[in-house]
Amino acid sequence: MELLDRYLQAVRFWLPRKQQDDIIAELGDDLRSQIEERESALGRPMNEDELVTLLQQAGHPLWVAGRYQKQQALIGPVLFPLYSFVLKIVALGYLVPWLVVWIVLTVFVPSHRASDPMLTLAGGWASFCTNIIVIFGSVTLAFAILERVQSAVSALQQWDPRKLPRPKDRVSRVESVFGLVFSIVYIAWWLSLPRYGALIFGPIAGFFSLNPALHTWYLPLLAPPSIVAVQQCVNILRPQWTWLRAAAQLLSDSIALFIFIALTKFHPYLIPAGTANLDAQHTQALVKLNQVVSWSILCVIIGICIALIVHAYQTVRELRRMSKGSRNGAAMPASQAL
Amino acid sequence: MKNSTKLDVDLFENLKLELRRGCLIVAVLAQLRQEHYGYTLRKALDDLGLAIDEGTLYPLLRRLETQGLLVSEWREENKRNKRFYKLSRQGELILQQLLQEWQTINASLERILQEA
Repeated sequence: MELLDRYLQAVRFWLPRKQQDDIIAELGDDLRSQIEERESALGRPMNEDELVTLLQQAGHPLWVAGRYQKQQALIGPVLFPLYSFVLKIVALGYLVPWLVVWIVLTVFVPSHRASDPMLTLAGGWASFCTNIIVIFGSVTLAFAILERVQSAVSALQQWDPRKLPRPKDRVSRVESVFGLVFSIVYIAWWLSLPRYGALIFGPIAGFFSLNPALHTWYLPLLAPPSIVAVQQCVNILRPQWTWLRAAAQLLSDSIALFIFIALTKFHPYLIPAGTANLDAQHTQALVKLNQVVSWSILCVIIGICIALIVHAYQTVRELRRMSKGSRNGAAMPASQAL
Repeated sequence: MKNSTKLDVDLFENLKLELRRGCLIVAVLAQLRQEHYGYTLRKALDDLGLAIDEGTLYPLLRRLETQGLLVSEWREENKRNKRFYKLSRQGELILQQLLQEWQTINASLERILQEA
């Protein structure tokens, strides 16, 4: 019976403290009754192998004790979809941007690189893992607490179906019209820069001017907003082409990223205007201004990278939805599939 | 092919478990119209064709007792302490309602299966 006692002791360890004696007495009696019945049928005491088989059939101590626990899941089926959604949002909204910022800083800012590339990689990887553990742990802890108080959460008890968001099966025309107006104003402002650009520099216009090498990129920089403007025009007429918005933004981001990465090679961005001889104060100001422009371009590159990832995800999702729709035939109007 | 067979078996086991879960509660409540301790209850159910392992039965008995559907007491029998369970008054009422519901579901299922 030593094996049985060992088994019961192992089960006891995992049981709720207040119920341990009660449960073990009942379970022990059941197992002893089974052994007695088996021995009576065999006409001899059970050997060790037979006892092992009987206990294995009863189940692992952890599994047996687990059946007595009230709460089986850290996060139950009601909250799990929300938990999973929040984790995805956190991954996309924090970890992906963090990764992009780290990559951009490591590539473009030498002070962020260690002397050994492997050290740079190891340091970045360690920080990334720490971030994942802290963030995912915090979200899980928050949901585990919510799981235990969810009956008190009024949002799950009182809700109105009319307040649920509408399906995103078309691009809002109002959104397209306002977007188009903004795009046109932006393009017009950009085109007016050669004539009124000096006004932007204000009182320093007489001292500094743009590096002439940057002029090559003046017109290409109109491509991203122009692509978006065309998409907005089309979506006013064909709001059901949701894939077009995602694809146009993806294309626009890709071109913008290419241009801004190219711009990083044209440092200094601002140079002394004409033949002006700058005094020490203006020379120092010029250095600082160029630093500000450098960092601004870096921030824009990071922003575009994040937007690129989001828009790539949206494009794939829209194309998948479109391909599913075309497979289902009647589920999607022919005009949307085109 | 082998994996697909294993998946089918797992799927069947999961669905069977879901189907049995509610039935076991009704069976245990019905069987406890007479007093039993855990082991004899298991034997009685097994003899009637409904096998239930101890890892499932005892937590279920504890839950039903917490819900007020069973009453229990420790008594000595055959020189060993045993916990005897019996249906409570509330348990009898709930069992009647569950049996009515069971009959309704069963009748509906039979009609559905006949139509199919």
